[in-house]
Amino acid sequence: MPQSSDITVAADIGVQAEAIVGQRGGRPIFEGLSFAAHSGDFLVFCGPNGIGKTTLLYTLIGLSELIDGHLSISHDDCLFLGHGDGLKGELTVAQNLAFWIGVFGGEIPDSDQWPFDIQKILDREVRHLSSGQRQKVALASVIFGGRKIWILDEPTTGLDASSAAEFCQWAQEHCDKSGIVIATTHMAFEYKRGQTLDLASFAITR
Amino acid sequence: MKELFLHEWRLSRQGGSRFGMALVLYFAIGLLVSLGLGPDRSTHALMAPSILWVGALLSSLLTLDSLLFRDHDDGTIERLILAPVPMETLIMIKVLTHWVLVALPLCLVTPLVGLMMNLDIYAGMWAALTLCIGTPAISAIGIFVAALTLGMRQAHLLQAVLIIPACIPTLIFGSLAASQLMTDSPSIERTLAALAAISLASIGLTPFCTSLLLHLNSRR
Repeated sequence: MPQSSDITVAADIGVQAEAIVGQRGGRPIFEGLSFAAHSGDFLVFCGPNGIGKTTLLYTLIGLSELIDGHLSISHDDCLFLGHGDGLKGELTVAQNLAFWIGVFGGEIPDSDQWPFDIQKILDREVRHLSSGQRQKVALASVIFGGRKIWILDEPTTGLDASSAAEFCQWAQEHCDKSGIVIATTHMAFEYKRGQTLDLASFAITR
Repeated sequence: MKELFLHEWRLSRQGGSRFGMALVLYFAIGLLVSLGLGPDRSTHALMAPSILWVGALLSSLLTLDSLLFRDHDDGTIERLILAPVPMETLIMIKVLTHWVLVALPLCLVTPLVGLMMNLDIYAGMWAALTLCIGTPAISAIGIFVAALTLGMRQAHLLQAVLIIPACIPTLIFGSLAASQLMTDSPSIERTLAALAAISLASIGLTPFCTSLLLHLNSRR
């Protein structure tokens, strides 16, 4: 991992964590974790269930308190997608996307530019979609959300192999445009591109 | 901001049956109470203001549970915390849509319900006016209490226990204002001012308190 020692280039650092200790329910769950994500970085945190991947993301977006260490991140640049996708079942895909993209100030693309062939299901109600399709809609709202830092909790859950690969491409493209992607997974092999960091080595086991 | 409002509006319209419920309940309370009071017409008009107010209060409380629970459960709040729109705006929009879609229809049908209680149409309009002034407080207090009980087990029970005392001042001044308007009482100005003050204070404070609660609630 690129452990940043050079503070003079801080301008291009999106996220910097120094020896952070995170907690879940008041119990420390990982410690001594340091990393930096610069513009263009694609970071994948992996590790088995319960190791603290989601907690780490919550720590990054400020929803989980840091016990120790230093974290610098600009929340105004972040877009978070967790297990709750915030999609409303009774609204159509297009309405849900209009909301989530609009609220973050992104731009709705032309209909042939949607990822995962979403243009075909735009007028369907979200409650009639499969869980994989829902996840695709949620990811589309991230892709066009117009934010620099994507923080995604297991974004490929429920996606088939080719869609997961397509998502990785979108993420890579975002990084190429000097964005930052921070994702978690318990199946690191899905990500051929990003740098992976195994959270297990920082876990506090009791 | 526009998106937030449109989204809330669409969602509330989709959940239309619940809002229809509020209207039906209001009519039912008006009808049943007037039947239960018996044939003595003079008591009807005497009690009408309080009954209209209690009916409107209970009916609009019926829809409050849906205000925040879904957003909490499906991750909307978690995602919106990072959005450039302040949480306070979101709360304000929710209060506004709740009032427009639930409380305002109740106010509009009040003269009709009043007819069932032997109120003439003008007196019914006065009652509707007091409801218009007072019900924003109920929408605002409702969302605050919903945020307070978010994520708790048996939240509905707790919500009912918390919200009823919180609405008592509105109810007292509201029904007092309604009956004073009908009898042309000289102290009506003061009562209406107090009612409006309760409404304004609730609307002014709720977005900030509720947003703070939501931020605290999302902590883990």
